[in-house]
Amino acid sequence: MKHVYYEWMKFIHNRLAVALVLGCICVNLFYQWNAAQKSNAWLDQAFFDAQVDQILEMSQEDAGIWLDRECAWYRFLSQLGTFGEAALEGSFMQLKMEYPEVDWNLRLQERMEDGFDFSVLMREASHFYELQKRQAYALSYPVFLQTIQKQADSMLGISLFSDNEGFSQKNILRTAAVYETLEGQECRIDYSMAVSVWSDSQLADGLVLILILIIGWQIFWQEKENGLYPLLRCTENGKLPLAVSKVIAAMILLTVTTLLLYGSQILLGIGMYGTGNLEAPLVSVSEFRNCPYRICIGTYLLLFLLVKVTGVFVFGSLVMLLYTGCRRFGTVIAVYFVMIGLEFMAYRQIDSLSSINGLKFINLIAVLDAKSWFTAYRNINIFSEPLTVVPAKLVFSVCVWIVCTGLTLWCFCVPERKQEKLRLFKTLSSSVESGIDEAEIHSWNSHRKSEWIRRRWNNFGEIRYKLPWANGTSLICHEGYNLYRLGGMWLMLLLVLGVSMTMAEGIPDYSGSRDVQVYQKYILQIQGIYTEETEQFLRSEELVMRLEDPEAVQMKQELAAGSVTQDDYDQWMEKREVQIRLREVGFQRVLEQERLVQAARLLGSDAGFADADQVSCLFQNDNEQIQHVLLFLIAVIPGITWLFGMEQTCGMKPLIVSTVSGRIPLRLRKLIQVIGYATLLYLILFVPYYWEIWNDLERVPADLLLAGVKGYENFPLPISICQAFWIMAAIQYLTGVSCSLYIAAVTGKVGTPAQGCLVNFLLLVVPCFLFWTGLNLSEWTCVGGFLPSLVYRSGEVLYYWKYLCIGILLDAWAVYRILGQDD
Amino acid sequence: MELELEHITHIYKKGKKALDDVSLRLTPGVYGLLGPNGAGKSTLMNIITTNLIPTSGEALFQGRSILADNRAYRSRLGYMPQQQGMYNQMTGRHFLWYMAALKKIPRQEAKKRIEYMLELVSLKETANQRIGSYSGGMKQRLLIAQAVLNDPEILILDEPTAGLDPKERIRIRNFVSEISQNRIVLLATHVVSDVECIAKEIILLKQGTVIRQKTPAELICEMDGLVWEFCVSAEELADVQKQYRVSNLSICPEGILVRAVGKREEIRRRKRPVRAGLEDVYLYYMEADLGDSLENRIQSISDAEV
Repeated sequence: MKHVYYEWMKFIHNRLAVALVLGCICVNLFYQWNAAQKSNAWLDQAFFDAQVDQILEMSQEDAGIWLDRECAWYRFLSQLGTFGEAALEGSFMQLKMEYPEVDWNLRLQERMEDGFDFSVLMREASHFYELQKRQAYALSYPVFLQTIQKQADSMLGISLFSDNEGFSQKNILRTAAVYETLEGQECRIDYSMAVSVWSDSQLADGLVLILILIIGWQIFWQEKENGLYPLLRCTENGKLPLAVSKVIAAMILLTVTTLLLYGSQILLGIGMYGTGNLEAPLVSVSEFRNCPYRICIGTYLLLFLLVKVTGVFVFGSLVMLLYTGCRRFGTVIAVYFVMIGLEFMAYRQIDSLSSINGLKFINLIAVLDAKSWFTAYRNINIFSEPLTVVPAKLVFSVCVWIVCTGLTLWCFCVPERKQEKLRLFKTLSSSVESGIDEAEIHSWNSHRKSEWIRRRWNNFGEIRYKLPWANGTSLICHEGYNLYRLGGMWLMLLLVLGVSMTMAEGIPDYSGSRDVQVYQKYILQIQGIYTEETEQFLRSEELVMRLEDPEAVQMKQELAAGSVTQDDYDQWMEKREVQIRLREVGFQRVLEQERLVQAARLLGSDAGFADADQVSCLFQNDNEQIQHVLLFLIAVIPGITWLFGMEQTCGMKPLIVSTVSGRIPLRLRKLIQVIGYATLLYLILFVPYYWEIWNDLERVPADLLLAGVKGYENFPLPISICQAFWIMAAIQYLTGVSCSLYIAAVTGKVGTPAQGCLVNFLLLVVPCFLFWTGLNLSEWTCVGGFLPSLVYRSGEVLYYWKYLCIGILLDAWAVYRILGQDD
Repeated sequence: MELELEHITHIYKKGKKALDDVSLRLTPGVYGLLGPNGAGKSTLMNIITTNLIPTSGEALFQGRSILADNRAYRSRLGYMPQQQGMYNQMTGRHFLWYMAALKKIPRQEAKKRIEYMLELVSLKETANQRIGSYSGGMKQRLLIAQAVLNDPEILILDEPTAGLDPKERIRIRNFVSEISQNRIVLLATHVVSDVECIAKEIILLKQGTVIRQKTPAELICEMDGLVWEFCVSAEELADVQKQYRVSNLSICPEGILVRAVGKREEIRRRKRPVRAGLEDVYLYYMEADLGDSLENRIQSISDAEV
């Protein structure tokens, strides 16, 4: 326990690590508070509780009637607020007729005397709508349970599911049996809104993945980085006991951090909305309708925390293994994030009913997503046996934890590299004792071979180091060498190039349904600047649309003539009507676009028709763009932190600083290399992606006004699609460069590349990752800079300018920090 | 050529006074900077190498402030820091090229100098190996090579012989002696013998203050009548070590021969005076166990001189 205590003390004394943990907790709390304020701004907890108390005193039936009546009353009041006295004639009379038992005149009079504040009224109404929703849901839940049983019975009757030994039938039977146990559960309406606040943990999940990395770095990497492992390992307790205490300390720290992070979120929810009835069944909350467990909200709260701790343990054990197994911090980071990315994609992309759905449910991200443990019931097919996902996740978590922890202990205790002489000695001594072991000799020989290759590679250095960039006095070449060769970024560039090539797919061929085809056909005809001819063409087409369908007329004549039967005619007409409806939908899109084009003509004469679907591939492909941004950041951070932190790591900073060019000239050249590297990465990642899209654009005249295209009608500036594209690309590129400067400045401030990596991943990668998962943080983070197309849609140009100004100020600070430090 | 430090005081952020009114005047030749850990040697060197700006006082080179004409000063400076880590991924030769670039040495000149320095520090054979595979001695030699790469007028060496075997130590000592012509060499060390023969002057630094700056011969002369030898039995040794400032022990036919530093009346034994060495000087000034104040010791030297 003493070792565990020392590990703890080491962590507590590391100000950076503690500040990052506390900072993450604060960021999470602020975000949750802000989000809750936005989504539940209407809520007056005291008023809500008073209504709930009132309902609880009634029978379920009376409560339903009372809520319907109150909602009707508030609907009427809102109409009164909107339409004035006109509402008194229609809506008020209807209210009186529906609920004659109430003296509505008196109530209206009282309301008017109290003062008719429309915003207060809308807020009050929201409480009743929410309660009505809860009440309706509570009444529908038993029906839902019965539906499951009925569905199971009816499905078993179908021959497809009649195989007794097949997975399908067993799955249906088990599902029905599980939900049967829930019968008799009564949903309640007196639960707290806090349940949603603490269940919404996307940001906390993103942050905890970085905190795991930070805690692992503190406990396992710092000593390794400082070369203390040989010293520690040669002590009496320096191997297994030390490794075990490190693992225990890490797990305790992870538990405490998890409880602090998620616990503070729970406390925030409770502080804002109260505890509500913790004894209420979890299924009372509509999000948890499919929950197969007979548990109350209080139990869910504890289980939620427990699942989070389990998830964190699993990730923690993986990180411990990476830190002890890998020699370079960059490798740790790369493996960790690639693993998270792959797991997330499997979790997100694989269909629940797919044959490989095991990869979706038995997945690291699925383990961490505690809410999903309770919101659905799923079985996966294991050799035709239905295996429930939750126990499978538990077994998976325990297995990963045991294997990774075991490997961590092994990696920690085994010397990093066996000495050749020792190996030979061991081989010979064992041969003396037990005869010659040929396998061992062979193994030793192969080791020798690898040594031979290593030496040859080193000798290759004779040539390598005669190359101009390693053998000259140009500082910029030396810094390039440091970045690409010593930092291994040439490999990173190759990897990124490979990934980029596979990701650049262009616009998929999609002719779509009939309405899309009609839309595309029209756009093909009228694409380009909106002219009088275009207008005449559309008017004439409108007239054609209104005419009776000639084919239908002909068919009718054939029916009358008896050449087709009534059944054939009905079938044909049914299909025809669907087609006509779709054609109308497609044409309506064109007309709608015409209205936007006409409005855009106020901005400039270049407004016209372009295929909105294809334009959206340029400006609305957030998911793919953020994937590229994530790749960019993951590739750029290790390189820059290495370049700006290498002197610190090697302890060479005093020497470098004492040379003629060791200050501003050196940092300036590093900066140039950083900008070059960021540019190279941007080109590799984004050029093939955009190139493919541009090549596939068919119905998009690039010189048309952007504001004339549907989806961008709010954008107030008169720029063309082409200009919008170049502006977007330029802002994306400049954001990339500005982030790179920022990374360099932060690394200079915090010290070593490892610390720089951690801080920068937290500040830059996490927001992008969360955006990818669906959490929009674009207003607060670099995401907004990387996705300027968001502004094309929202039209908030002024806001964006402010955002850019802040970015420029931050960059100025970064450049000042980089060039001015130590001087 | 003259490097002058005028009333340098440096106080760290937490209030620790590392240097207290240090004034020095350095002209070409080797200066040995001696002092225990925490005496302020590294702070002094950091100030001379412009890595640190002193809280008060000024450092002047050729009469101009080194901070005012920072780049020109640094172009005439060579610095060998204490070895902690190095660019392990670089080869020895590449590291020298990198330092040549940082020191703004023209390419042709750099090529000649690098080859010459590699030859001089006997690293030519291993110049294309990674620094990570070098031994401690090789790394030290490489650091020295980079320090003199630009043929500096001021050479600052921070413990250049730390961790080296005796043979390497002698080699480096000789090397420093060879290159010290026409340049100011400031050599900080704990190992007195490193500077005993080659230093023009010894600077004794204690608790941030220069307590002595004299030639080795002068310092040794000052100690006449303060160094004694006597024999003790093995049983007595522990008590003797507690009582006196023992600078050396050796075996003699009568038991153990003790070499101690102190005034005649302090050593209450049958003893014989011996000629002092620089280690005795160091011990005399730096040893603080016996509670004797520094002023008293300097006074006792004055008394001895009288």
